[in-house]
Amino acid sequence: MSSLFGILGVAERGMSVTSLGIRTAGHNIANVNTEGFSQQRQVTAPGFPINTDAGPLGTGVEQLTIERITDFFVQRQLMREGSRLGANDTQTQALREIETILDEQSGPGLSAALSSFYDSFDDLANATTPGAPVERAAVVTAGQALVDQFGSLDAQLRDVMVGLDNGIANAVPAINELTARIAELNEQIVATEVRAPANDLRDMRELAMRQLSELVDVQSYENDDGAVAVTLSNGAALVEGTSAKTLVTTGSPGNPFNPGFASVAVQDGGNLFDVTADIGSGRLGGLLRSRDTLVPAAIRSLDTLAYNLANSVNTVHQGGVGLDASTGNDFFTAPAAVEDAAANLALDATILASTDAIAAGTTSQSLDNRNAQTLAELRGQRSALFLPGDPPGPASGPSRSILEHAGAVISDIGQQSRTQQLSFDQQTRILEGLQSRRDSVSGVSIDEETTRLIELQAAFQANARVVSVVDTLMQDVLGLI
Amino acid sequence: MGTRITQSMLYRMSLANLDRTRGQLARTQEQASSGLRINRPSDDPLGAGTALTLRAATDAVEQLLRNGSAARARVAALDDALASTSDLVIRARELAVQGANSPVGDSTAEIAREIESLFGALVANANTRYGGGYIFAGYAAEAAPFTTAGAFSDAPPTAPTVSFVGDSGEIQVGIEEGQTVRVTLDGRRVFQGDADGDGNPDAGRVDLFQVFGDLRNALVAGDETAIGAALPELDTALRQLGTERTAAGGVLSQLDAAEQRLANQEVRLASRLSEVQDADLARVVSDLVRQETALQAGLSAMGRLMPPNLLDFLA
Repeated sequence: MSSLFGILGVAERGMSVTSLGIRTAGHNIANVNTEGFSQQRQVTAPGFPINTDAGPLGTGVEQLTIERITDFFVQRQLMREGSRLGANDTQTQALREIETILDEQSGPGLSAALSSFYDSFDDLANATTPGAPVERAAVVTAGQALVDQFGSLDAQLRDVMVGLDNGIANAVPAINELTARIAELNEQIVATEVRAPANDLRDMRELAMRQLSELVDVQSYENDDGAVAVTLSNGAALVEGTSAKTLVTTGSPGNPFNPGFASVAVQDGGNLFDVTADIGSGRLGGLLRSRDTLVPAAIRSLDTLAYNLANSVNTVHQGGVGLDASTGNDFFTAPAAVEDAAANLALDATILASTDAIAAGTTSQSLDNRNAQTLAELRGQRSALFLPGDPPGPASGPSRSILEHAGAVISDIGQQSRTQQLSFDQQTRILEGLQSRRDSVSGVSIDEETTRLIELQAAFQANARVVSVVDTLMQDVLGLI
Repeated sequence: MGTRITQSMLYRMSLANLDRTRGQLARTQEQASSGLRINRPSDDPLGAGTALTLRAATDAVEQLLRNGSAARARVAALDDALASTSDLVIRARELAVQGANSPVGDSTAEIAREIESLFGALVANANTRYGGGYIFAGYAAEAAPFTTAGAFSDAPPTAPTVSFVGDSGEIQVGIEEGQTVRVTLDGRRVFQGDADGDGNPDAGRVDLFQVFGDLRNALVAGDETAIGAALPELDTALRQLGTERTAAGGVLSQLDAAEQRLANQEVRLASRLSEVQDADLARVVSDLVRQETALQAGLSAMGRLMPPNLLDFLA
């Protein structure tokens, strides 16, 4: 008799384990589109056998656990490559912006303004009216247009920097939110896993980790209790157990463009540790590199152009004589250094005060055009370039004409942008590949779950049938009484 | 274990492929609408730099052509002045011949009057203006380069003296890279035969004002010897002007040649620029069709995504 009741127990356990299986399949199906969700599998084992005279006798099925199917290695790679993609993405965008600003494929730009400027000296040299008032005015107009062009390009590039700086300021709270969430999930996971694996919580944490690494490159490792520790690549802890440190932004007094630009620091109690230099990847890394390296390089290229232009024109201009017999005048305000030459480029006050100060000749005679001609010839003249940081003296840069230099600047930015785009495309594919691998391992397949459901349905029905068979047997036994 | 194909995988892959096709299509459409292969430097960094250089070179050529036409106009003005001066000299020579063969008296006096007006025309020619300046004045172009002092008088026969107040500045205009042409002539050399500036005509040259003045005085005085002496002087004057005209003609043919070369260069630059930056429309259009087809295929595949799964077959 007791064995009959035992069978009922086996069947009952079978039904309950099976319905748990159905519930797991249902959970999987319900989360088919949930980002970061990993498929879950019911793990069962035969019940511990009891010894009988006939040998060990099975006691039915036992529900062990519900496990999550993930590939730890893919997860790691997703974090690392996600960091790279984040950095790539922001840098690609920054370079795109820079090249759009400097681009003149679609309209007149710097080279066109330079050409017009040299043209105006040619026209001045061709002037037939004594004193050439019209042509002199045109030289000033073309010079001013060139100055404005430099100023506007410089201002636009600086605006890009400000935009990037805002991006940095916005990324930091997002990072803090994620680290706080990871710490909170750590707490819940540790508490849950005293009893059973915290599958869904772990999925959520993995997703948060991936989102975090897209923003900033982090290292992580899991403690024995199931909590993850997250550090920046320099080792500074962001998440330790159930507590998270916050990142804060401070000013950058040493920044040559704007001391108000954000530096990133880890706040540890009352102390701040600057980690700006240690952030190499992720969106934040990309933003920092764009703001502190890519855009400054473009601005300095522009400065080099402006500095060399102003000096070459000034040198020739100083050697000439104005209509007013003045000599030694600058045409552009002499730039102090290559740094910020584009922003500070301006026509010299003497030229602005009177066009007669334009040194068209080597004498003050009204049709002497010799110096205007020399100025016009600067268009094609190659000379060594002064580079940012060059001390006064011999220039260290390559020998180029200003127009060639302008072409090289555009070409160089284009090359950087292209390389960055290719690398971004490649990185996107790498990540797509990894995500496919993750989807392949951890994603939910409706076909699979449906098959499971049918399987489980059949199992449930069979277990129920066992109950009804036992019931019949019992009826038979009771009938004996 | 074979690869599990899961729902999220299918969606993600289709979406990524659609994105890519759409991206390609957008680029091709940009090329089709702009007609340019290079729409931003990163499309072809080297090409973009080359295009810039070519555009700058084209601009420089255009400016040189403009210089050339400015130079041409000025040299033409010089040539006109020289031609008209030559006409004056030829007329003076005719009058001198006529004067030498006429009996002294009223007719020579009449001829002398005509020489006086020729003298005036000669001074006017020497003070020819172009574009507001005086073309024989050198750099000092704001004032007439030749000033006359005195007037014609008959007893004793005297003529006004002409002196040069310009300078010997030569205005050069760049007509090709590294090549300039002179678009002015030194008035003193042309009209006074004085290239070295010592105040006297150089060997083999004459002072036209002097020759005209002397001829006029000889006619007034009826000095046949002096009238006869004017003839070789006038011949020298014609040669002197002829030499200058030849020089001006030389400049004009130099300009022609330069213009021709520049025009060729402009065509070459334009075709090179087109090669570098223009889209091959035939290719762009075929790409466009191909990519549109690909996009449509992708979209319809996406529409039918959710490939039949087991659920479709369960009652």
